[in-house]
Amino acid sequence: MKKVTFTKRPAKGGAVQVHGTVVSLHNGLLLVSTGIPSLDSVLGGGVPLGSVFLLEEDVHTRFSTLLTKYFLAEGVTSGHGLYVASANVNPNVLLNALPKPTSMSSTRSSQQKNDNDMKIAFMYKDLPKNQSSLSGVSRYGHYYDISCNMDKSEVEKCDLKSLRLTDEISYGEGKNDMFRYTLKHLKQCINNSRYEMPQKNSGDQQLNVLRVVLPHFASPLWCGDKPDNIHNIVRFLHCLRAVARNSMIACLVTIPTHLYHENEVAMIRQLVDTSVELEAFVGEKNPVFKQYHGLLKIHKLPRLNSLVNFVPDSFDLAFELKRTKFIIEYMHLPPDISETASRQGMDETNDKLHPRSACGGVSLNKKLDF
Amino acid sequence: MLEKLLSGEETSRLVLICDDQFTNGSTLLRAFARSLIKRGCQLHLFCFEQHPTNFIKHLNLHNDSNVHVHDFYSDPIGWDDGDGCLLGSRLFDINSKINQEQAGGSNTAVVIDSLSMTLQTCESTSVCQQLHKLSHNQRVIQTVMLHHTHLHVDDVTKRLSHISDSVLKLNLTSSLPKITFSKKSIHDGTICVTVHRKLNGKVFLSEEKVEILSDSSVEACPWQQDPLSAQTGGISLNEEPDVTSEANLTFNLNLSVREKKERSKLVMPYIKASEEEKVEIHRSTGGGGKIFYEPDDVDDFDDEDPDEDLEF
Repeated sequence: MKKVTFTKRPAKGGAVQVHGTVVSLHNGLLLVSTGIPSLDSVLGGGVPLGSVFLLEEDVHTRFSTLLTKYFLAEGVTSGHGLYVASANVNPNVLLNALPKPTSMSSTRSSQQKNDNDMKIAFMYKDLPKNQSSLSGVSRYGHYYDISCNMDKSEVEKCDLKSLRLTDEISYGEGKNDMFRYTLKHLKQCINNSRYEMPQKNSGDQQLNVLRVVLPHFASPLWCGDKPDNIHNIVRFLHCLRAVARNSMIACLVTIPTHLYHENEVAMIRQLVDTSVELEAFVGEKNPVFKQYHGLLKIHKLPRLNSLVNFVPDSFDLAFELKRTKFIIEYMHLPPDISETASRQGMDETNDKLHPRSACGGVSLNKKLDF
Repeated sequence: MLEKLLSGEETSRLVLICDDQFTNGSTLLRAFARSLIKRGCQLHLFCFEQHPTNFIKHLNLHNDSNVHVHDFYSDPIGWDDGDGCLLGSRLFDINSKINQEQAGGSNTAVVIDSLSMTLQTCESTSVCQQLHKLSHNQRVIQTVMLHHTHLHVDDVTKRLSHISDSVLKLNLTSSLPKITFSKKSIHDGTICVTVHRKLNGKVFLSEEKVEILSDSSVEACPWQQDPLSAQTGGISLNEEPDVTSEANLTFNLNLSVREKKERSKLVMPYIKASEEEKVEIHRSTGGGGKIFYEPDDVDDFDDEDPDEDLEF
């Protein structure tokens, strides 16, 4: 079984030890969790430190906001620092509504209590328990319950920095001022703090990860309408990546790319390390998608430190939101269509899905009857 | 969903009504204005496309003291040295005005007859920013705007939809375009497609057939699109002849009626054996089985929300 724990390497080996991170098995980089274990596994373990993760928003921003909350909540549980910069929307609104981690400690204690009480699976009573949960509070990758909010005290334990961009800043010298101000503010927060990349690797440094989140970046609230607007965005992402490479930060940027032209979106994707798009279903009638809430499309995976990037088993991914889990699954073909041929009632739905065409399609009235 | 939005059951800070050259959205806008006044709001009305008195006449109000009219129709560019000068930010001075007003209380609503003129003179992103600020103003409970999608590029409509909480798109029942360009009244087969985003993020989509009566009250009933007419625009396809491969066979693969009856009478070998078993079982156990189930603590019930009404 793959060991997800962080193994303590000897100090001579030059390993940096930071809690809440894991060393990648593919390229040796330090990874942080996105807050959603299934997304972590699709990305090859998590988001690499020092990279920019782009989340392309779904049209109504329901799931992208949720993913941002998971990312921040994971930061709180791992004890990382948080930085949120948003335009005209109060960042505290986001920080006050983080989901609560499903408590692993209480389940562990109840498991020990019921050790001798297994009524149904009594034959497994004597088998050794499979310790899937590890000792230590902040292990990698947690599950969150979105119906309850995280305790404020937990959130306040972390190092919180937020930036709210209002009119006074943006109407300085044109709209690109907003971007410059954000970059300056971020650099100020990082300089001479625990988040700066250490020059020398000495074993006794207190290093921590700063999670930088830019929700609804490049929405109409952030920028002007001029044709060079995309250049400002692209320049910002370039500088952000440079800042990220030189510090211990993991950036999550969400952009409503459906508002931009294809060429512009291609330029944006070029300048980030990982790009994932969410497409939510609203009133979807396709029975193949019945149990899912949307599709997850991977446009770019990080290729840092290696020639070949991590490739998941399949790129056809769909997600489903449950109260305590956000699940991402590989989509597989539905059961063989010949099942529906014998059912007369399926005629209508099949007509909607597969309009009659001369070539192929499903022939519902089989004349051959053995 | 439309009626819930109108009555205020569903809170929506920014409502965008989209119409095009074949549908007329101003009657629906009037219906929203009327219901807002009925709920006791101070209404700020921005008229760009029709004279304010014309708009108010159709609202059938007993007293219009609650309506503050901002007339941008009579003299938009200020040729007569009028008040309504259509500089970009004039429309949005309202934000600061509302904050200054003390008598208004917290029940102010804004109705904008059409955004087209403002969008033509200002950049769409700055209009979006101002509208966003207006909708988030603590005192304004709702802002309703009319947008003509055929007068602007798609990008503008997309951006406005992005910042709005509810988008109501008016379509005609049949997908074949009408040739006449007259402003048809909404009585005639208009469908409203509502996409409403609740505050907790959940999105609802509904299609309803809308009828607006002369006193600006709305009747909406859910509408299911006829699948055949949707695909083909009302023209029915010819049924394709079923191609069967048995056309060239020399023997008959079908069963006659008599043969089918005989087949159904045939008893399968397993049926006999199971019937014998059934008789034995009935004899041995008196009352059948009972299952006692006690869920362990680690049993996970289904976490999904079947009614989609839980607030996450």
